[in-house]
Amino acid sequence: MRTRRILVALDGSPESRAALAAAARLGIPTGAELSGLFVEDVELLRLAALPFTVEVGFASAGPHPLDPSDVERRFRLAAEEAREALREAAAASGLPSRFRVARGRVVPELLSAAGEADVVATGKRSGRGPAGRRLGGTARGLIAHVPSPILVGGVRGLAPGPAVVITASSRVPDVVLRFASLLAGAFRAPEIVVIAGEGGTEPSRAELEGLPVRRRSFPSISSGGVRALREVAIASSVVLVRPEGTAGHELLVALAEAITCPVFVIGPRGLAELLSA
Amino acid sequence: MGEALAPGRLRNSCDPSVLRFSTTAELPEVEGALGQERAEEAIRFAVGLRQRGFNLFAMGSPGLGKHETVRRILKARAKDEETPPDWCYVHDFASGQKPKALKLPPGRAPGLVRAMDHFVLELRSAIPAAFETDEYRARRREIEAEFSERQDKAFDEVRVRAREKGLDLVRMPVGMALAPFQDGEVMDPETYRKMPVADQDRIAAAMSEMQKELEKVIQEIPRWRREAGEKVRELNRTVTRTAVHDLVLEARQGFEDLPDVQAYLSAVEEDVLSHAEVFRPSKEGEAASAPPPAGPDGTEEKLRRYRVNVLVSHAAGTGAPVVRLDHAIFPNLVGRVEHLSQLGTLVTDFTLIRPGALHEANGGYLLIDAHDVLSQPLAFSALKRALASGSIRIELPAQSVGLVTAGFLEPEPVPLDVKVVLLGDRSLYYLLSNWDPEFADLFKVVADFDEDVPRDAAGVEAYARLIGSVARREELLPFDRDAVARLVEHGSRTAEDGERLSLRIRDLVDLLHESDLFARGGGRPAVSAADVERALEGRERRADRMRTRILHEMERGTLLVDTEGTRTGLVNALTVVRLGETSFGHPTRVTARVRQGSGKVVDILREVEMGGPNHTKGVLILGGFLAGRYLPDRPLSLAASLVLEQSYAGVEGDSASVAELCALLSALAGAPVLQSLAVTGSVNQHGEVQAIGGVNEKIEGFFALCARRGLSGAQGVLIPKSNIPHLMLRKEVVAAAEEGRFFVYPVATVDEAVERLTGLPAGERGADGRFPKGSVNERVEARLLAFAKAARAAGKADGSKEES
Repeated sequence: MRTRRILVALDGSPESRAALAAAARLGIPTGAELSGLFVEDVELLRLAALPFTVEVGFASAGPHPLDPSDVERRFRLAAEEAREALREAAAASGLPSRFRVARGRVVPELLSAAGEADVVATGKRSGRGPAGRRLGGTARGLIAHVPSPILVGGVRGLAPGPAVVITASSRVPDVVLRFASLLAGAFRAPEIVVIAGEGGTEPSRAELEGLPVRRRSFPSISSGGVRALREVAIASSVVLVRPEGTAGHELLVALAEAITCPVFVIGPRGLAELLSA
Repeated sequence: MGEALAPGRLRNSCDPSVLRFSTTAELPEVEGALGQERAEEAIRFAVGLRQRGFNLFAMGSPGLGKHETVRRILKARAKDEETPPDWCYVHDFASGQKPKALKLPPGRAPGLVRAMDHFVLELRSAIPAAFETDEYRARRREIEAEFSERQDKAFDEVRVRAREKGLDLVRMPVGMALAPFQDGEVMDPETYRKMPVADQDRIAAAMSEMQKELEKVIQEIPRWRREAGEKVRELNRTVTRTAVHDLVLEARQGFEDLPDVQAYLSAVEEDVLSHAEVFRPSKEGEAASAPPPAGPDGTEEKLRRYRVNVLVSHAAGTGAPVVRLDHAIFPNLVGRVEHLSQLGTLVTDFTLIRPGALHEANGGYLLIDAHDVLSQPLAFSALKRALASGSIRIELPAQSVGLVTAGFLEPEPVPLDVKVVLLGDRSLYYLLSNWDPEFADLFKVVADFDEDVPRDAAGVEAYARLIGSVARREELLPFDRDAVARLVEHGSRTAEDGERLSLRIRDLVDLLHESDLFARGGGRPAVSAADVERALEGRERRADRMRTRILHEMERGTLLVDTEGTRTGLVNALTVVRLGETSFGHPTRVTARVRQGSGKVVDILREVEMGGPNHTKGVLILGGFLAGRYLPDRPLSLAASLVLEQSYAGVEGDSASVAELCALLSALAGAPVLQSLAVTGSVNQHGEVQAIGGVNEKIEGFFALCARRGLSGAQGVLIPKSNIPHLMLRKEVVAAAEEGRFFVYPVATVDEAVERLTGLPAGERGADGRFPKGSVNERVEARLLAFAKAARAAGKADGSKEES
C-alpha cells in the first residue's frame, strides 16, 4: 500500500486550524501523513514595501502603517504557530507529519505541492477577520485548479451529524458513496444523506455497510436551497461532487460558502486511488 | 452580760407535724413560680405591651428559675397569639446583590419552594426543547446569514470602487489593506518608484480616499454584530415565551391571593425570557463566529436563582414562637450568609442565607442570656440595632464594623416585631442601665426575681407543693413529710436565714435528684428525711477537702489558733471562705499591738494592699470609736497596729471589726482574752455590734476545730444579737449546746463582748464621768491618757531644744 498524504495549507488562522482538524479526522481511517505547508506570501511583502500602504484593523478600525520588517516578523510567528498546531494535531491523531515553509505566491506554491498529495486541505479563508461567507482566494484557487479531492475546513467545530453528499447529477457513483461512508466513519455520522438531481435510483451500496442512507431529490441544486436544508445545517461533513466540465465552478464556490462544516470537493480523479486500500 | 442562747434558738427546725400530708404525691401542682409574684407581674406587663422598647430584663441570681418562669408565662400567652408569617429570600433580579425578602402567610413558604423546584425541573427540559425546534434553528441561521452577507456586501462595494481606481483589497491576518494592483498582482514597489510623480500622487490620493471608506465599513461591523445579537435575543424570547409562560402559570396556582408572590413570579418569567440563551444546550454545531457569545457554562448555577430559600416557616395556628438563643454569637442572632469555595474564591448567593434567632422568634418572643450576649463580640450592639430599627439586617460581622465594603450580598432587611427577654444578674442590669443609654430605651421593663420567701405557714406549704411538682415533672419518687421538713430547713440554711426560704430552684432540683437516688437505692417508695440527709452529707463530703485541710493544719499548729487559755491583745475572729457554690467558716487570729504615737490605727493588711475597702472601713471606725469614747477632748496619741494573722489571700468585709476592737482594747487595758471563745460581728463608732453574713458557717467553723480537739465545756462563739434570726446551725452544734458543751452568745455592744472575752467588767462612766476602778474601760482610758501625757512631754522637750 502506498503512502497517502494530506497536504494542509497552514497560515496560522483559525480557519486553517479547522481545516487541519478535519484533515486529521480523514487521516485516521486512511492512515495518511499530514503534510503542513506555510507559504510566506510575497504579495504581502510587496504590499508592505509600497511607501503608503496601511492596514485597517478589524478591531481598531484604524490605520496602521506597514513595512516589510513587520510582515517578515508576522510570517515567523505565524509559521511557528502553524508548526505547533500541526504537531499537536498529529500527536492527537497518531499520524505522521511534516512541515515546510515556502516563500512565493500562495496558490502557485500550493499547486506545485499538491501534485504529491492525495488530498489538499485549506481554510475557508485566511486572517482573523469578522464573520463573512466568502471563500478566500486560496480555497477558490484550489477549487479551480486542483483535480484531486480538496478539503475546505468549516467555520464551526467538529460535531456529529449526518454525512451529506450533494451532486447536481441524478446518478451517484458508487465510489462517491464509498467515500461518504469513509467520512461517516471518520466524522461519526449516524447516517448518510444524498442530495441529488431528480431521477436515478436509490443508493444502496453504503447500506450494505450498515449505515442508513436517505436520498432527497431536487430539480436543481442552488446555494440558497442547500443552505435552507436542515440536513446541511447540522451535517458533520459535506461532499460536493464536481460537475462535468467547468460550468459548475461558480456553483461549487457558492455551495462551499453556504456550508459551515468541512466540505470535500471531489471529482472523478483521485478518488479511486484514495479508496484503493 | 447576756447569757448563752437557748439551744432551741440555734436552729429553726421544721416540725413535720405542721405538714398535713404524708407524701408530696398528695399535693396539688404549684401555680406560677413560688414567691415570684412581683417578677411574674412584670413579665405579664411587658408582654401585654406590643410597643417597641417594652422589652424585658429578668434579673436575679443564677438558679432562681428565671428561664422557666419567663418561658412558662410566654408560652401560655404565645399559643393563643397570631402565628407570624413565613419569610423567604428570593433572587434579586434587578441587581443580583440584594436578595428580596418575601413574606407569606404562615405555613405557605414550603409550598412555594415545591412550586419553584418543580418549575426549575420543568424549565431544564422545556427550554432546550424550544431551542431544538427546526423553526428556531432556521430563524437563527437567517439572522447569522444576514449579518455575514451584510459584511460581505459592504466589503464588495469597497472593492468594486477600489478596482475602479486601480486598487484592490488585500486580506491581512488581523485587518484589511489596500494596494495598487497591476495585472492582478500587487504593484511592484520598483514599478511604483519609476512612475511619474503625477501618477504616484494619483495613486496616493486614491489610496487615502479608499482607506477612509474601508475604515467606515469596518467601524460599522460592531454595530451590525450588536444588531444581530439583539435579533437573536429577541428570537430566544419569542421561542421560549410560550413554554415559560405556561410553566409560570402552573407555579402561580395556589398563590393567587398573594400579590407579592405573583409579582415575584412575573419577575421570574421576565428573567427567564431575558436569559433564555443560558438554558440553550451549547451545541458545537453553531457557527464559531455567530453574533452572541454563548452563555457562561453551568446552567445549574443559573437555575439556582429561581429557587426559594425559606428562612422561617411556622405551621398555621401554632401561635407565636418562643425561642431561646443558646449561643448568642453574632451570626446566631441576626443570621448569616454562608460562602462556598469555588476554585479558591468564596462565592455566595441568596440560597446561602441562614436565619438567626431573631428571624425564628420574629412575631413572638426571644430569650437571651444577658451575660452570653454581652460577652460575644458585636452581638449586643447588633441586637440593639435590630430592636431600635425594627428590622433584621443580615451582614457579616466585619461589615457591621465597616471592614468589608464590596462583593458581598446585602439581603433586604426583614421587618422585626419581637419581644426580647434578657436574663441575667442584677449587677449586669445596673451596669447596663448606668452605662448604656440605648439599653434603658429598649428594655423598659425589669422583672426582679426574689431570692427567698418568708418561711411562714403559707411559705412552707407552697414550698412543699413546689417539691411535689418538681418531683412529678422530673419523674422522681414522692417526698415524705419528714423529707420535706428537712428540705425546708435546708432552704432556710441556703437563704442564710432561719425565717426565710431560698428560691434557688436549681439547687433544690439538684438536691431532690440526689436524694431520690438514695431512696431508689434503698428501694423505698418515697424519699425520706434520711435520704435527704445523706444527699446533703454527700455534698459536703465532696466539697470538704479545703475545710478539712485547714482544720488539720490548725490541729498540727501550722495555723496558730488556741481554743483554751488566755492571751492579751489576741482574739479569735471568724472568716468565711467561699469556693464556688460551697462555703465554710474557720477561726483566724486577730492581734493588736499598741504604743504611744500619732493617733493612727494601722491596718497592716491594708498597708500591704491585701485588705478590701470594707475591711479598711471597719478598722478606721475603731479609731473613731476610741477617740470618741475615751478622749473626746484630746488628741489621740496612740499608734496601734492590727492584723488578721496567717492570712495570705485578700480579706474583705468588716465582720472581724468587733474582734479587732476587742483585741485593741485587750492590748490597751492589758486584759487577757479567753481563747476558748471566738467573735464575729461588725462594730460602729458608738460601739454597737452589727449583723454580719455567713453566721452559721462561722459558728460551725469554730465548733469544728473545738470538737476535733475535744469540747471543753467552756467554748463558744460571740455573734451579733441581730443575727439570731439567721441561725440555722447544724444538728451536732445544737446537740452540743443542749449538752452544755458549746455556747452561742449574742452580743449587742462591744462592752458585752469585752466582758465575755476578758471576764472583767467593761464599766460605764459614773455620775463623776469616770469609769469604775478596775474596769476594762477605766484601764483603757488610763493608758490612752498616759500616752497623751507622754506625747505632750515629748513635744515640750522637742520644743525647748529647738529654742535653745
